[in-house]
Amino acid sequence: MRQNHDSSGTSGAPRGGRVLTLAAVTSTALALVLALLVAPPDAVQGQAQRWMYLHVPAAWSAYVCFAVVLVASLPMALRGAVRPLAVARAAAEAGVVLTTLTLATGSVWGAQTWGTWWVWDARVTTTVAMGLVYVALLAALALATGPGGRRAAGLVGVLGFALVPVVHLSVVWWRTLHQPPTLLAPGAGAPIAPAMAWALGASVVACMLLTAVVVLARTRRYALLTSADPTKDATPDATTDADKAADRLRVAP
Amino acid sequence: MRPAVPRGRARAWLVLAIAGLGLAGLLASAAQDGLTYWGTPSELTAQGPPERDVRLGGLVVTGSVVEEAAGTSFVLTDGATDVTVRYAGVLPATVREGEGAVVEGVLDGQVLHARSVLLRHSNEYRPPEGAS
Repeated sequence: MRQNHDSSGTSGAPRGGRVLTLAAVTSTALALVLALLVAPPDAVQGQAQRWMYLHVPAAWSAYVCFAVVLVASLPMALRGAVRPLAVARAAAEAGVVLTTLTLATGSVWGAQTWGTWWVWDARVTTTVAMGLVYVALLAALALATGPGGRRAAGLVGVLGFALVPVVHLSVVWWRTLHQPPTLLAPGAGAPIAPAMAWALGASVVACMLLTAVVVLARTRRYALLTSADPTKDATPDATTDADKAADRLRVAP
Repeated sequence: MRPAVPRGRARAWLVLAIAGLGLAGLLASAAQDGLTYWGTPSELTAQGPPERDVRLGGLVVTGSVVEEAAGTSFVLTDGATDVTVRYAGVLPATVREGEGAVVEGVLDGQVLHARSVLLRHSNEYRPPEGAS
């Protein structure tokens, strides 16, 4: 275990990985300057509005993580494929952490502007549900040692994604305490001062790049663990044939 | 058969069960109460028994906020119907005329005796007047 971990550390990352890490660090520094120094406080909400530069990027990055989980889950659900399991796990983990961060920052922001730390409106309720689906997926992935388990986990990863648009549009579909979207809105959206929009844009880019760095590093680590783990039923290279054989056996009765 | 890792697998099943129960609970609550968080003044004054617990949302009518030692009152509107909200406590500092508010309490005709006052804010973001 220890050896696997060491050999998959950042020292083994390809050059593309280092470029990505550099881009993530640079954009994070830029985002911090724009969000904390350049962007003005909001006319109505004051300084509390700056939570947006963490809350919105975290939420959108979580959406992207779950989209990655969806893509990785398709071959698992269809063929019980082994290889995408590492990506699915890494992306689902990052997505759950980012969903938690979204709820936590939203809670503080809500306490400062709404006057409450928590309400079960449609936005909060669907967001918690989305987080729980991916916690369940992580458990299912941990339990997926055979092709059947991987199909089941893959199915959770595919069907679970249906909640992502529900979360995003919950503020349009139901009356919530949460305001409707400003940017990714169906229709016209709402005005936002240019300096705030730039700060938000930079924060989103930074959050997505940081997420990509973490997800890629953890994917490499999990891929090595899987291929080196004797309790797993196959190495990635030998997977396809074994899985096809298993599939035929499963389909037969 | 396979070298077991009981702690890991048992924990995974436990997490799966807790997440599944949580989802079932959220679904059941959504199915029972719906996902609509508040009613409009028109909806809530038009239907139901005269005195009951409600969650009302609307815009704070400009010029309607009255703060006295005994408590605070303001008018919430949806454009068609107005409801006067009476609140015994001090309003959150962020109560703003023209912005949205969601109020929980007992509705008695056109008057709502509020237990809690929550503020909504719009999806517009701009610097304070006078700043660039």
